[in-house]
Amino acid sequence: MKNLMIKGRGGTSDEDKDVALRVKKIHINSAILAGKSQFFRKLFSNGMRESDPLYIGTVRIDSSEEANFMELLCFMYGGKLSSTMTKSFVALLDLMFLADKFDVISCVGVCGQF
Amino acid sequence: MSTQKKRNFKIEAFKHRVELDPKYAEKTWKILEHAIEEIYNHNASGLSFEELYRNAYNMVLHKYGEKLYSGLVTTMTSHLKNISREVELAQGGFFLEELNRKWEDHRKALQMIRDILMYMDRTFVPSAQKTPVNDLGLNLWRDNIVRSPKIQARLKNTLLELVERERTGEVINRGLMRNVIQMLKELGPNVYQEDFEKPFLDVSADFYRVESQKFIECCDCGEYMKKAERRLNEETERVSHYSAEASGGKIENVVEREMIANHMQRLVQMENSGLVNMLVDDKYDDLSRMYNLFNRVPGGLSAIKDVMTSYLRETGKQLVTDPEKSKDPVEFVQRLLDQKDKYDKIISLAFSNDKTFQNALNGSFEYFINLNPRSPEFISLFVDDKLRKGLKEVSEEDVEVVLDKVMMLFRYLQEKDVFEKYYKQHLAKRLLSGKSASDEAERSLIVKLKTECGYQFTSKLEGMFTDMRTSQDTMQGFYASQSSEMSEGQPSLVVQVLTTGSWPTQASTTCNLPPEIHGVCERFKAYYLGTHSGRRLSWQTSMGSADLKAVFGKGQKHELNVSTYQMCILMLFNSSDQMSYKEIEQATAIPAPDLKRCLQSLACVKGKNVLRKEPMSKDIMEDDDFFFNDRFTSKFFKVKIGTVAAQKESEPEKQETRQRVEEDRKPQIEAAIVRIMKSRRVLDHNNIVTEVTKQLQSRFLPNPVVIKKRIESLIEREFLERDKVDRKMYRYLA
Repeated sequence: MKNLMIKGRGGTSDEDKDVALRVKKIHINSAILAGKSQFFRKLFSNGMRESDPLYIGTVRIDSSEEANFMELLCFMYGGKLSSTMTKSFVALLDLMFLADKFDVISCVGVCGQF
Repeated sequence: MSTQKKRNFKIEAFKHRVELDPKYAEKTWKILEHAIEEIYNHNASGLSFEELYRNAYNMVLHKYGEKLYSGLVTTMTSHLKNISREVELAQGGFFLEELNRKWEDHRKALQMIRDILMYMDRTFVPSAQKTPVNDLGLNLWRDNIVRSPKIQARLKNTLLELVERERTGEVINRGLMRNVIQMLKELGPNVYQEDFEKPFLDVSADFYRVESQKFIECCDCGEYMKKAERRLNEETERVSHYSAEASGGKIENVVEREMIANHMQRLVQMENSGLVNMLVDDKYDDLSRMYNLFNRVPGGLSAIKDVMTSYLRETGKQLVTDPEKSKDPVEFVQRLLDQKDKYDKIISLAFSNDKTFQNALNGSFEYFINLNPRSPEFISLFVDDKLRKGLKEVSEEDVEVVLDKVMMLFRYLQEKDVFEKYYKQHLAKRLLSGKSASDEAERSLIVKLKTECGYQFTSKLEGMFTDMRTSQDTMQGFYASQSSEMSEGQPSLVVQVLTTGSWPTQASTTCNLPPEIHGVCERFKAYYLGTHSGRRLSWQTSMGSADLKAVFGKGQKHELNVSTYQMCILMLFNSSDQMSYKEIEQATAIPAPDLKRCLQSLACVKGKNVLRKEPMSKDIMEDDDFFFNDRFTSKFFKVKIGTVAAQKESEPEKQETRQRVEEDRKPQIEAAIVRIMKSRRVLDHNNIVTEVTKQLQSRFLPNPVVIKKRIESLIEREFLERDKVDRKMYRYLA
């Protein structure tokens, strides 16, 4: 088990001024995530800061992506999308975009089926 | 937890921003470039993977992929150039270690860089047709380090030097070697081959060329083979330690070529220690080693085989043509069998039962056995020796084994019909003198001959057995009918009635039988012809035997076991004590050569000299006188007096047998010709000769000249005719 912090980020993309709007701390199972996503696998293993088992990793995302990110996490655990998700084409598109970013291939595939 | 203060955040539309800080790309790249620096400086654990990944992702997403990629190339190149200088500075032995260490670093760094640029690798690289990051890293390493002018040659020489040192017995750091070679392999097959394998093989070839030259000058063949085998194993082991298995086969080829193929003939023919000596001394280990090593090079086995064959033929030829050695036929055959056993063992122990070697062995035996025209006779004599009742009691299994071996020799014979002739004679002698050791063994051999040569070959031999059985019945019948007329003191007679044709024909030279015997014979003749009308009986006195009771000077009684001829001679001495050679010849009418032999065995053999001869000498002369030997003594009651008859045939007898064989072949050849022509109707001369030879080769090799004569004879008798146009063609006349 690992703790993962999700930081919502707003405003500009300028990293200097980049300020976390919201910090959400969730517990995740690193093995499950690593199994589904190449990004998480490397995050937890490639020897940088986040590979330290005691370090609480942070994933910065745009605030607009928050809901979708949670959806993506759910998918990685359960392998299914929520029913609200599948009804919205736009939401699916965004999820797919996010899945591509974090390299969750199976999710990209599932999104493409609807 | 983050130390950053929390703020409220606005919710934006999910559109991704397009407006960007113009310096955005530059700034982001700087972050990544710095990270790459840090990775090379072993400070990766302080970096945030998430941040770097996100930045690289964003750059690609915002179409700065090209900038990211080219930035990577530039940064990595300049970094590797620095490394290259550091490696160049490493002194002597540390060079390889330094190179290896830097390589490990680079690989780890490359791994991390690839991870943070994962998104670029996945999306930008394929679409822009760039080299993936990992390969890029390896290529840059290859071009800037391994193949940099100052390193390439040094690396090659260092590696080869280490190999050379290890070959001369030093211990080297194999782990390091292995790692460096592993590196070359990872850089691609081309790099491995160009920068290591090819020079390695070249240098190895030189090394072994020199070494093998040195060895062959000072080692004997067996020792050289051991060294070569060890070198070969060493090289195989070496490449596996270096993790250069891909070159295993090639380096083995080099060693095989330099150490074996190039010296093959010299090794095989090495004086005092080459193949021939190994064969002579039964050096199974050395032979086996030679076989295995030579098996690895083209033409290796045939080199061994050729030398073995020619040696075998040479020694075999000496064996069979040496008149000294063919004096005793039994020993002669035993030597052949020993020779065969010896080579069979060598082939099975050292040459892994190689079929081609077995064929070579068989071919050689076939070659030299037939060099001596008396081989068939000797083999038959050998069988005779084994099957005759003798002192040596051998078990049935042993006899079987010997017979099987004899059959093997028999198979090599070309003139199987000659063997048959002699075999018949010897079998007849065994049967008639009741000296056959075991009916079982006799039949077993006949069965073997039958499976080898077919029914025809043995039908007459089987007929001989039948005659023996019938004769037993006949004798019983004879004595049953004569019981009233037989009186005590009359000699008892045992007659074997032999069918003409089944038995070896001997010119029926009858001698004058003593009157006592003559009477019984006549009675038997009357009895036999009475039961079997239309038959003719003639006495074969040369084949019989007799038991005589004799009383000598001091009253001692002996039973003498003699041949019929000898019996006739001894009976003469019942009426007088002295007779001259001429008188004996006249009285018995035994043919001169037989008579001489009989007299010799009666008068000249110590311990069995029941007659005395004057003058005393070894040979019988026509003006010798013979006396009854009063002073004869023997510790045995039964005295067996053999005929001095040489077991082997004398020269004229041999000629005679030869002639008979030739005579017997004529009808067989004619029969073959007729069989062939009957089915082919028209055939030319050469084809007939080939076909006839093929049909008859299981029995003998017909002489083409004889075949031609037979054809002419058949034409005369109007079985065939010559074609009117083509004189070479023959036509079958039905």
